Amino acid sequence: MKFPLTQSLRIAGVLIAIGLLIEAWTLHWNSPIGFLVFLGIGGIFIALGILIYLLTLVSLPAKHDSSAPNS
Amino acid sequence: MSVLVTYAVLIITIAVIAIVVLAPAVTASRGGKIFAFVALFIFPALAVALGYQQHMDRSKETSFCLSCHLMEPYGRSLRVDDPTWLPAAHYQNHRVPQDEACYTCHTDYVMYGSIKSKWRGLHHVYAQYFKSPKPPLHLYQPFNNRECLHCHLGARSFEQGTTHTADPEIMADIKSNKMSCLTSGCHDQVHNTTKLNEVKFWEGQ
Repeated sequence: MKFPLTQSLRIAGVLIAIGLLIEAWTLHWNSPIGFLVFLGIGGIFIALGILIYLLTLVSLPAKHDSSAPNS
Repeated sequence: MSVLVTYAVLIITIAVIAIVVLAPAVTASRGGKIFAFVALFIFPALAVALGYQQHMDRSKETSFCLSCHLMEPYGRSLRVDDPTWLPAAHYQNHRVPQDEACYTCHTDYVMYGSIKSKWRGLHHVYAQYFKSPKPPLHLYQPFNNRECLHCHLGARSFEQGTTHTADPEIMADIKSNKMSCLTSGCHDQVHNTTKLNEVKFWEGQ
């Protein structure tokens, strides 16, 4: 399922922001479960967001150089 | 690294992400693309690294270890009013940092050990919340003298102690971990959580 560029950026940004908010929340904890929530839930959101962003980058259509001479 | 720096990076990261989310048209230009890369890759990676560092630092703290209910007797054993109890003597006399008392002597547990130790750490969290583990706990392998020697090695009281130097083989065996500091009948009063009802406690700081 392909999304427009702007929508992909928004989805990536929202996912990363959710992951970062989870990270900020776990910084209040001082227990092993806080560490696991940070990595297991926050980390997944952030990783997913970054992955979507990077896939968006590599999926961008190549620019055609109109000044290149015809062979 | 101060937690304030981590929070600052988190806030800045969320702010720049909000710009990209609310106004994605800024990414149309070359500068905007670079901005998006910083906002959606560089800053989040930095925030995660700082957060990870914060959690790793906290995992060394005594309060972190004692946050699990099962560790409560071990925390209490640090306050036993008996100088022959090794952890209590070390803790109360600041021979180990009080805020990192557990980690100072147990340096290869869970997060700080091998992959197997890390896996055990996950299992411990699972057991804490979904099973009913009962004390006393047992070490997976004998306590390594390395944990004592990383402080005591080279110290005068250790190197010139009468018992340690009574026989040259004793010192060599201690340093090579052939003779345990804890289970050779010398320094074997450790946590003793089964005897906490029989002892007095120190109420100091």
